Amino acid sequence: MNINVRTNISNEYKDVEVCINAPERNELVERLEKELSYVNSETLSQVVGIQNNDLYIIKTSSIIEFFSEEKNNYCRTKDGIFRIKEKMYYLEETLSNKEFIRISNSAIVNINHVKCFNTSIIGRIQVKFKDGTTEDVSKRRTSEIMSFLKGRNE
Amino acid sequence: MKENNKFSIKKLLKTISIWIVISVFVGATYNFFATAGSAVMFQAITETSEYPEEMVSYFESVNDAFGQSVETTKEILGENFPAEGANFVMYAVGWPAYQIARIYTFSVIAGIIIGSLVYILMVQKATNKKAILEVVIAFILIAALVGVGYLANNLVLKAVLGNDVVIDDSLTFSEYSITNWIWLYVILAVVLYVVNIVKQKIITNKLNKELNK
Repeated sequence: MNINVRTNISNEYKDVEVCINAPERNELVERLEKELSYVNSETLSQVVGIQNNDLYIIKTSSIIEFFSEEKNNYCRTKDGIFRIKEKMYYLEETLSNKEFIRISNSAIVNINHVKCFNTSIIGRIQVKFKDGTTEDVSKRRTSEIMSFLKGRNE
Repeated sequence: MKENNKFSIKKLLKTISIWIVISVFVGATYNFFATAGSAVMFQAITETSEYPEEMVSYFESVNDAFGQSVETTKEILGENFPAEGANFVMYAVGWPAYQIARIYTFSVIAGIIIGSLVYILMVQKATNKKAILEVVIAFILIAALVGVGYLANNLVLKAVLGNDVVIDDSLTFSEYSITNWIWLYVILAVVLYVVNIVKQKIITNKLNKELNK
């Protein structure tokens, strides 16, 4: 479906206003709303990732998880692992709180890439991603994750 | 990706200390209920000048048992041995003190075991292999601790009785028996493991339920 973009610049508008007109609510409308909500809430929508000295602009929605390892922070996408400069606390504050949740001191995951939660043989709760990888969940953060999931469903 | 399971001696000692306190409290409470009857009996004896028939017959049976014990002691150690004094010390002073000491010893060792296992299996959340290795290492260290306790107990006995006396194992606290601790350790490890797994499974199920809503 094509989108007609019309921009009206006039003194009679006091604020920037975006109105979506569509014959029905569909995937495209929802995507537009989502993208606009990112812009509106000033959430981080992209990061710069470094891999083999090359820089890549990565959309946060394509990031499976952010993690820290040996004092460096990384993000992982289906294309690989990229080193990033952002600190974990900054990511936690600026990433979309509908999409990302901190599951331990060293990992923030994108809930859209989570397949399920598992319990390991030793009794650790793990996040299983859609690509088959796993990440450990900190015991102290399970209640926060639960609130996040409940808030997401409301 | 990450290593969130680093061994922390501070956290381990904190967990062990908490469990020693809990364990000693439970041991002291057990000791209280185990000796409450005797304590009431003591109060009854000191607070009255008249005794019911049941108490009198109980004292008579104690008298007989005490006399028998004195005779046995004299048979072993000779007529000139102050058997009455020795038996009085043994029953009136030694036995309650022995009970207090062995319950305290048991409580402290149990606290160390529970604290170590809780830390390894529930607090630290180590990887499978690391956790198993730590459970084994912890057991070796605890067995060594119990062994040192046994040796120290025997050394004190030798100091009291003299070096020429051969120490009978039955004199040493049964709390220093390694076999008993192996069983307790294994049972506690299994119980804590199962409790932890069940607890985590419940949380995992709740999380999955919310995720799939």
